[in-house]
Amino acid sequence: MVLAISFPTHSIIRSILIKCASVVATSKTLPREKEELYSRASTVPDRPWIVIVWNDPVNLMSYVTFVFQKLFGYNKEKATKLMLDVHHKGKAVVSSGPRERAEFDVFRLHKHGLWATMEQERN
Amino acid sequence: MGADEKDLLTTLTSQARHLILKDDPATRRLFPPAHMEGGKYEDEYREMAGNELKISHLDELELLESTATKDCISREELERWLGAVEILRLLLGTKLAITEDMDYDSSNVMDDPQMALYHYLTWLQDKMVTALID
Repeated sequence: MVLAISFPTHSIIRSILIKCASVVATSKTLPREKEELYSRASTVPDRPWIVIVWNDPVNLMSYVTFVFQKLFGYNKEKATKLMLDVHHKGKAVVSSGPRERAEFDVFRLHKHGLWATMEQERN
Repeated sequence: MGADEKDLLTTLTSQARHLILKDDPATRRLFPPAHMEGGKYEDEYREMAGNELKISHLDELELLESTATKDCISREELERWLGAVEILRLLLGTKLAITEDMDYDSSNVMDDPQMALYHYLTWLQDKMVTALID
């Protein structure tokens, strides 16, 4: 009896084992695939960087407006609106683009004494 | 601008240049971080831009120092004077721990020479911006 039923049982166990094996194999490959996906996501070049100017107690409102006009070519209205956002809301996004562009803008703002930082835009 | 004012600006810019040259902690506001969270991007920015930013600040101060006695300056020179006065205000403002809600009408403003100087530079910078915009 053992032998009579041993074959189908063996067959089922075998198929279960094969499934398990494939699950194990899949679960082994998944982290690798995920890892690749995550590493690709963390360096996504398409997600733009934003340049933020923060409020500070020293800089003059007229000076900040002047710097926005000079560096970014914004008209007086846009430059004034951004300056007022910095003043009232504590910060404003003044430009965005690829990392190199954002770094260049931050550098120019630092040259002009403004407190600027950059970060990658959130989805 | 009177001779006294020119002397004052020359002295101040010279002092500021020396502070920057010796990396005095008082100059930290002139070199803000580009990345709030620090990390490798901040290290890369410091490496790439740190020295150039220092040279830029020194250049602005040096130009004001060397042209302060001129009776007439060009628009480009005025823009760089504006940059130098900005540096002086940031240094002095940090030293005086200036806050936005400070009461500028209080009598102690004029009693404190450094505070009076800060307000003179603020007035001067505003005049310069007005001249450049008009």
